Amino acid sequence: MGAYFFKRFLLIIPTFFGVTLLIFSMTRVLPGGPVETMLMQAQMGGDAGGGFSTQNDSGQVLSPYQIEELKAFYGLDKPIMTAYVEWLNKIVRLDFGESNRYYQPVIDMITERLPISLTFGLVSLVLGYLISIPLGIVKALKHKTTIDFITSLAVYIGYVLPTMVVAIALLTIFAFKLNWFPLGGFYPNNYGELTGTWEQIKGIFPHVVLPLAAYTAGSFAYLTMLMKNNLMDNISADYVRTAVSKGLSFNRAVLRHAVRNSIIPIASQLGGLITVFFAGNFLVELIFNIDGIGLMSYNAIVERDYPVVMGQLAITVFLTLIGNILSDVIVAFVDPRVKFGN
Amino acid sequence: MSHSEKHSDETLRVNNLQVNFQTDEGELCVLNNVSFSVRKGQTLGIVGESGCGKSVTSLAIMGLLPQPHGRIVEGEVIFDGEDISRFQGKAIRAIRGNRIAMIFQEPMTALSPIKTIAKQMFEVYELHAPELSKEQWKQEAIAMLGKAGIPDPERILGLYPFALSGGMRQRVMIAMALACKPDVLICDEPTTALDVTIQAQLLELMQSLQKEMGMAILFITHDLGVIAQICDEVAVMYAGEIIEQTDVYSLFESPRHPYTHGLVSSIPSLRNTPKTKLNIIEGQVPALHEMPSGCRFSNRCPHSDDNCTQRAPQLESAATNHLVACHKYKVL
Repeated sequence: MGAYFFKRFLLIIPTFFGVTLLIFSMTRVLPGGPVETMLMQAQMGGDAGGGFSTQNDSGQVLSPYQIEELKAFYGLDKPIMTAYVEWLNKIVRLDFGESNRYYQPVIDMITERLPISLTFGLVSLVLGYLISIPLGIVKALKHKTTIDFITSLAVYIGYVLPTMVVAIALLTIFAFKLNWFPLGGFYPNNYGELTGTWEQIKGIFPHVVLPLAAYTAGSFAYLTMLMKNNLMDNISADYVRTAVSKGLSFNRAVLRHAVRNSIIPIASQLGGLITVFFAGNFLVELIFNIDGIGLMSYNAIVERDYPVVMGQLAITVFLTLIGNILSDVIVAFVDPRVKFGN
Repeated sequence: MSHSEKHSDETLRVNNLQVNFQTDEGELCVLNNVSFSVRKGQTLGIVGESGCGKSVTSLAIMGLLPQPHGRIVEGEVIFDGEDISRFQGKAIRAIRGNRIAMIFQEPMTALSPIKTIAKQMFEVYELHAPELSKEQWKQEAIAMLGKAGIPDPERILGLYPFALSGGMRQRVMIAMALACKPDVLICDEPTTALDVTIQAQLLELMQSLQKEMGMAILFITHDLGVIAQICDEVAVMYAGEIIEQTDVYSLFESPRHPYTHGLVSSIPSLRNTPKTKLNIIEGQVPALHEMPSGCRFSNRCPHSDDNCTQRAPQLESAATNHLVACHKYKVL
């Protein structure tokens, strides 16, 4: 087992190189780099980041020499491989560089938004499992009854509606019409005045409810049906009949034996849990005006803020790869049939 | 079988059992007027082809008919002086696995793949012998696995089913079924999924355990060879009915029903000329919703006449301890 995981960890290295090199090259090859984007925004009278665009309000284009100078400033003048190796060299020393746009260390931009991601990621995940697994069990046990039909309706609506549609609907109904929750934002206006963790949580809570509902609605449908279908398969398995013939009641046989077997495929996805640090759907964040990781990444792509794009990507890739290994560990833990190595 | 024939050592008795299944084609009669009894220390075999109702019989006795489709319409299952077919909830669960135990056809899937043998065996004691300590459960389980012919039972207890062969798993199933020293053991094709050497070993094991523990065995199979090896009495089922019932010797020597006769003469024999055609029974079992009126075997029977297709024959005594349901057994 140890040898197997050692091998898996070694495999992270080439995979990480592959993914990052691919994306890095794409950022260089695609037309419209950071300099061009900034110039364009400046010409259109938009406010480009920093205090650097002020001279160009007249609509004058920078001379090619100046553009070259700018490109050199952002390190875009070097060949792809040289630039990539430079980037990699910094990354392995955990130096994520500085944003092209905000002249702020990338790592600070990320850590600043971590509480938001963690809140939504963890809570929607836990909530999703807490709803889906019991609901799936009930649906399997009450297959083809009224409860099953009604919950199926809810599940399918949750499944077919894209998250942003759910988000807009929730916002319209509960924030705009009923005024139960704030319209957006993550921190309350008086957040700075709140002292103590409990007070802070209480302040954030109303801001979190609607986005959380939007996130959970998107994920619980899939998990519920997965749980139900797995359990349906296992309920009709021979070993459940054996358990009943031993004298267990049907419900206990299902809970003791079938549920345990049905959870294995779901447990295999738990490794992905580790990416909750980067949870955040930019559409939901946009709708609820939350300055989270999703929105940050989206803006970084639009603004060609490559250090942010690459920094965020590097961490996500790394966490995903670790998460895959973690999934293997979890599966080996819940399913005795899985053994790694010889 | 007539009611006057009751024996004092009768352990389990099934009277006029009728089971219906609710299907898309309407309510179908899967078991019709099935009666038999199993005696202490004896083995009753139920033989018949797929779909004749053998397994449904065993499930009906255990109260394990698939819900909500299957139900007992009529008849009774007498065990220990009481009709257990009326039992529900706790009452029937106290009997299941304790006084009437069952082993199934597929040893590969009948055990939960992710629990150790110990956990699955202890469950029986947990349900039926909660007064014992865990250490006693372990000792009991080890003793029982040993009796079932499992070498090194203490080590086996810690293993998961996937580490065991099919034959070993079926031994575990037997040990689990016999853990509470049941009065009746129902075996639903326990050796069908195993190869013949393992089958022979297991049949021998069950016979010796029966001798030792004295339980009655209801043995369900489609294999006449197994019947010959293990059974004292045999009931032949066809399309949900018992059509002939007698002791194992009479069945093979003088089968009375044309169906039984067909079955027995389709057994390949070493005395036959090699490469000659095997006797077969023409046609196939009619589907339950298109059963012929009258004798259910009439459309395949070489001897059937108008009487057979109109009037259903009842089981009657053809000789001492030999029941047959056929209008024409006397003239055949």
